[in-house]
Amino acid sequence: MVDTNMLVRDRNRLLTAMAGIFVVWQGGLMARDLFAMADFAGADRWVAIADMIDLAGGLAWLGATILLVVFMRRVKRAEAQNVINDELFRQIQAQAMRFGFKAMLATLVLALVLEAFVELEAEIVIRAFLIVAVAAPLGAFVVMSGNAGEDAE
Amino acid sequence: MTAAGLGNRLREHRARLGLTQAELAEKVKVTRKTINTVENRVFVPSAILALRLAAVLGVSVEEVFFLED
Repeated sequence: MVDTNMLVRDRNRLLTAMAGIFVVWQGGLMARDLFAMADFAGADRWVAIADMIDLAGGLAWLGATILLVVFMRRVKRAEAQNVINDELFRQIQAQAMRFGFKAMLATLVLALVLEAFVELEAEIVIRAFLIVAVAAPLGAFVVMSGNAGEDAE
Repeated sequence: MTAAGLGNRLREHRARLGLTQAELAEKVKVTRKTINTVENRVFVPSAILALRLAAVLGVSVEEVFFLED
């Protein structure tokens, strides 16, 4: 018998890791761009640190992607796609996507407000959008999924 | 979708058959969490899932799900 609970738990762990890794990876790249533009003593050292963070993040993302492929094979082998992607999953997925959309709108508003006070680089703004677009729905899915149905019998 | 207005006797029918949430979930091909959220009225199942649950429990769907005042 396939333990679908374990598959669901593993999927949530993997998604949590992927959301965190993506933030670290793209956050490192964004920090690198910010430090590269900054004009202060020791900025080069911070650029090098950000480079290391984004390299580590990129490698971790590669690892997480491989783990995702392995996980998908496990699910396929167990013929458990329909079970773990049941209607509760689809509802939570839709809610997480809606949350991601709202987070994107909030980021857009924030960027527009900030633009009135400081000059924003397009690359930085696009990267911020990318981070929110990926991390917000993934994070929301994990939180919503974790909150649903905890008291097992 | 939350289950405001929709009551159910899923837990009672499941207990009558001596099934755990995981065992019932396996029979209707959903996760244990889905059964748990339906029982706790957090999640409103689709008509198809409601019918499958009733069929597995050997009762009519009205005996499992009902509208609350």
